[in-house]
Amino acid sequence: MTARRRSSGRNGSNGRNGALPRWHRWTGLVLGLPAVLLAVTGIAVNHADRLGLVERSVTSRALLEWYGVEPPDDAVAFDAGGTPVSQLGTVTFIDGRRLAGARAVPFGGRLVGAVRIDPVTVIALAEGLLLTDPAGRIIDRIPAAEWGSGGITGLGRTARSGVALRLERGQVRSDPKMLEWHAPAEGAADPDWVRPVPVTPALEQTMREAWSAGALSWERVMLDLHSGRLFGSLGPLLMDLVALALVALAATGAWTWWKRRRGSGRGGDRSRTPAK
Amino acid sequence: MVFEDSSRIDHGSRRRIAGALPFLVGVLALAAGPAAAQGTYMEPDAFLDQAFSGDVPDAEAIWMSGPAAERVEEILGHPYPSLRIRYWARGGRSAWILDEIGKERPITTGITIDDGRIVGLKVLIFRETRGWEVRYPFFTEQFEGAALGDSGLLDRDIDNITGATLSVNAIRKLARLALYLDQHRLQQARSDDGASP
Repeated sequence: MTARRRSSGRNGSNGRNGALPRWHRWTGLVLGLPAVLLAVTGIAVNHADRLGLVERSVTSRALLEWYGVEPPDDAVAFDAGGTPVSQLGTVTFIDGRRLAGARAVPFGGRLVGAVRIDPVTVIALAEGLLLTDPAGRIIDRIPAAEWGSGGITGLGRTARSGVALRLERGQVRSDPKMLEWHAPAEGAADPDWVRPVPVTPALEQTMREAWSAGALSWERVMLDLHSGRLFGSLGPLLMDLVALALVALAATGAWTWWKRRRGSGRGGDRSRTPAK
Repeated sequence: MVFEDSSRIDHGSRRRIAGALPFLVGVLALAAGPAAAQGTYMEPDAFLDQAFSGDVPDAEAIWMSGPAAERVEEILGHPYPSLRIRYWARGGRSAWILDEIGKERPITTGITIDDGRIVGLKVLIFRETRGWEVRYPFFTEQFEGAALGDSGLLDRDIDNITGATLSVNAIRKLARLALYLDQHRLQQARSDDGASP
């Protein structure tokens, strides 16, 4: 009723105190914070690579808990000449540290075994073999596909300081340099297949912390802030309303400006002049 | 389930559904495309068999150290992700299985070189969600006959594919890398021959 009454006068919908300008002002005030949030997160997402948000992981325990990030309970470990090689989920660790350069490893899968053939640590994943030096740098990456006999199911050491691999369909054995791989000779002695060792509580704790640190990127958080998903199932709806309200703000702002300008053009609307 | 009792759908709704079908099919095709594009197109052992007509020589390796590592870093824009690169060679012919990240995941590529020129390039395993067009012959055949020019670049232009720029760049780099590594292994072989009595 108030809006209808005011719309008839100079201070109606075209004036400074009309329903539309009032709605515009209050909506603008309320939307200030969400609009800034949308703008900042939008810019952050657009430049996520340059800002390092893709690689940077969330370490805040509160935020990780909010996302429900919980490390899996499937730790496995092998003793590679005194150095533990372990895995939690899909993350592989050497001596409790994440495997460096893992992003460029073209395969993954479950940790099948690890063995030290000095100075090389051999790590068998279901989809391929990794050779690392004492500093943990990757010497070579050999995908199981190169042997054409399925994934790796077992790792062992041969009597000739080479590596034996049990594949889904057969076995292969290497020379000590691990360059050449051949099917075992007939009557060859069984290799010494490696077996997992118990995961110590300290190692498991280290892995769980490292796993959590790499589980959630800041790019993901920015995307979820931008879309509203961080605030639960109603978040996207809320952001939709914010977006629609911003569109409406632009429209009402333009409309009010145009109406005032038209009024001013007719030489009428002195109310535009700021009050003194 | 929606179409179980079509008599409940009025004529207007049917028209709307029929009109939306091409759009839905398009969306589904776009969604399914990347997932279908990821995969192994040729097993590495099959590539080597093809490169050496079934008689694959023993593997050899180049270690990433000294000037070779520096040159490789220049070509890729970053160090190679492993300290040694295996290859297979007989005489002037060599085969390389190399990978490089396009945007997020490595693209494994097999490259065969004969007398300093690429005679075959094949995308073996593609793991990216976009840019899979680089596996098609219309793209890979551009590399056939390519060699390194004086500037260390390919001696020919390789056409880009719109929407697959990062994958195209990765394959270009791998082609240059394989040609450089082939030169390097021949130089090494010559210097080894010169050093032997």
